[in-house]
Amino acid sequence: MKDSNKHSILKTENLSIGYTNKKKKTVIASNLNIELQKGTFVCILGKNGIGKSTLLRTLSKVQPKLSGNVNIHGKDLNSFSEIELAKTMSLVLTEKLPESNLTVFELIALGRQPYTNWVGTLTKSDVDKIHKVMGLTKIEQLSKKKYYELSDGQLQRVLISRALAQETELIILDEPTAHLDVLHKMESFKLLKELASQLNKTVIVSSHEIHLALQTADELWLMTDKEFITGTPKDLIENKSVEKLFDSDTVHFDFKQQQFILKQK
Amino acid sequence: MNPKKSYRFTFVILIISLIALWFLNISLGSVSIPFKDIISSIFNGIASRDTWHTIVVNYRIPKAITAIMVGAGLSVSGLLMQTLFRNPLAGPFVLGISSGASLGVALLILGSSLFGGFAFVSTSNFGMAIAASLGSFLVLSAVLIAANKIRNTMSILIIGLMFGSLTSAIISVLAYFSSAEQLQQFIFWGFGSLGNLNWNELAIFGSLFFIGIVFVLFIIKPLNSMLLGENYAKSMGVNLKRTRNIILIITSILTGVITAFSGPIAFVGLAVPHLTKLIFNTSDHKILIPAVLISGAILMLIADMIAQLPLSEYTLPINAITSLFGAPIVIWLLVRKRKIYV
Repeated sequence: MKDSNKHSILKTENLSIGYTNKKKKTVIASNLNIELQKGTFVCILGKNGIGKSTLLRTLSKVQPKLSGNVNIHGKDLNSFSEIELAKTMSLVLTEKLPESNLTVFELIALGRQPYTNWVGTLTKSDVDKIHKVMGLTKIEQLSKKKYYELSDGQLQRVLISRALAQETELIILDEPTAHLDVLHKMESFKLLKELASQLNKTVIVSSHEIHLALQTADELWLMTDKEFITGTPKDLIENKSVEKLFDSDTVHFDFKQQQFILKQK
Repeated sequence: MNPKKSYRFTFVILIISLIALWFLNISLGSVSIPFKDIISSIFNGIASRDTWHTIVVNYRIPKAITAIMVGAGLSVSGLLMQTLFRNPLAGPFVLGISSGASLGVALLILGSSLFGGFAFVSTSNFGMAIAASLGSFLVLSAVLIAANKIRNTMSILIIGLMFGSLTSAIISVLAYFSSAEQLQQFIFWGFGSLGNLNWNELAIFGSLFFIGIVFVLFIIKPLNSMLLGENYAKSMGVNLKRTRNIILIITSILTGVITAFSGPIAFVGLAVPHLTKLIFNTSDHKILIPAVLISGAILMLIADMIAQLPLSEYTLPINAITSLFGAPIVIWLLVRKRKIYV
C-alpha cells in the first residue's frame, strides 16, 4: 500500500465537476475517484458533451471544481502557486492560437518560462533543452518557420514539444488529434505513448479515437451518462464496459475489430 | 544566420535616426536660427542672440522632448492593447480610452458651467492631466469588465466603440451648454499640440511617462506568453489578473497623461506597433517594446516637423498630420507585405 502511494501522482476524492453561474449549479459528473500512477498514458473516452473537457479543465485548475478533492503528489491542487503548477503540469489545448509572428523555436521556448528570469532570457541550458525536445519530436527542421506556416500535424507536434519543454511530470492534452488524418493521429498516439513509457511522463488525453486508445493507452477513463469507469483497455473490453460508451441503436462495439461499427439490420 | 545581430543593426540605425531627427526638429521652426547657435544653446547655454537661446531652451527643446514621449507612450500603449486583446485592430483610440480622456477634459473645461462647484478647479495642464487620466481609466476599466464577461474579441471591440460613442454624446451635451470661449479651448485641445508645456509640466509628464515605461519592462515575459492565449499563459505560470491590471494601469497612465498634455492624438497608437512588427518581423516583446518606443518617437518628431511648416508662421494641428502622412505608409506596407503577414 505504501509503495503504491509513493508513485501516485494524481488522486481525486469524490470530485464533482461542472459549472456554477449565479446561484445555479450544473453538475456534469460527480463522485469521481481517480488514482493515477506516474508514467501512465491515460485516454479519456466518452461521447460529445459528457464532460471530458470539463474534467481536464478542472484537473488543470482552469475551471474550479464543484466539490471533492484533487491532489497532486498528495498536495491539494488549490494550494499550488501559479509557478509551482506550471512546473508540475503542462497543457496542450484545442483552442486556435491568436495571430502572431512566433517562430516554432520561439513558441517552444515559451515553455521554458516558469524557469527563466524576469525578462525571460534563455540560458544555454534552456536552449539545449529546447533542441533536445525538438529532436525527440522530430521537428528540428521546422525550427525557424513561423507557426502559421505549419500543417495541422506539424503544429500538433510543436504544441506537444512546447509542453515537453515545460518539463512537467504531468501533460494534459484536450483532443489533440481532432484535425489530423489517420497517419498523424496514429503518430501522435505513438509519440504520447513513448513519452509515458520512455520519459516516465504522465499523459492524460481526451479523445474520440476509441480504436487507437484501446491499442495504445495504459489506462482508460470511460465517461458515460451513469458512471465513471477506469481500468486497462483489456479489462474494460472483457467486462464489456467499453460498450457502455454509446448507448445507441445505431452503433455497437465489435470485439473482433475492437471498434464501434454500424448495426446491421 | 544570427537574428540577434540583425536586430542590433536595425536598432543602431533607429537610435541614430532618433538623435539626428531630434536635433533637426530643434533646428526647425518659425524663426530661423543658425545650427551653430542651436548647438551652443544646448551645450554652452549661450547663443548669438538671447532670444534665440530662449526659443531653443524654453520652447523647442521641451516640444521635442514632448514629441518623443507622446510618440513612444502612445505606441507602447497600442502594442499592449493589441497583445492583451489579441486583436490587431486594438489601440487606445479604438477602445475608447482616448474618448475617456476627452470626456475627463470636457467635464473639466465645459462642465464648469454646468456644475458651478467645479469652477474653482483650475484648468491648468496639471488639472487636465488628472481629469484625462481619470477619464481614460474609467473607460478602460469598463471595457475590461465587459471583456471579462464576454469572451468574444469582436464584441469587446464593439463595446469599446460604444463607449467611444457614449462619451462623444456626453461631450456634445456638455458642449451645447458651454460658452464659446470654453468651446474654443476644448476644440483647440482636441487638435493636439506638443508645444504647450513648460519645464515644470514637462517634469510631471516625464515622471509619469518614466513610471509607465518601467512597469512595461516588468511585464515583457507575461506579454510574450499571452501570445499563445490566456489559457496557455496561465498554464505557464502567468498571474493573469495581475498582468491584466498592470497593463490596464500602464495604458491609462500613459494615454491619460499624453492626451491631457497634448490632446487626443490619433493613429500613432494603432499604427506604430504594426509598422514595427513589419520592420522587425517578430512577436517577441523583448525586441518589440524598445523598437516600438523608438519608432513611435521618430514618427512623432517627423510629424511635428511637418506640422511646423518650416520657415512659416503657421503650425498645423499635429493630430491631422499623424494620420495624413502615416496612414498611407501603413496601407502601403501592408499591401506590399501581404503575402508574409497573414
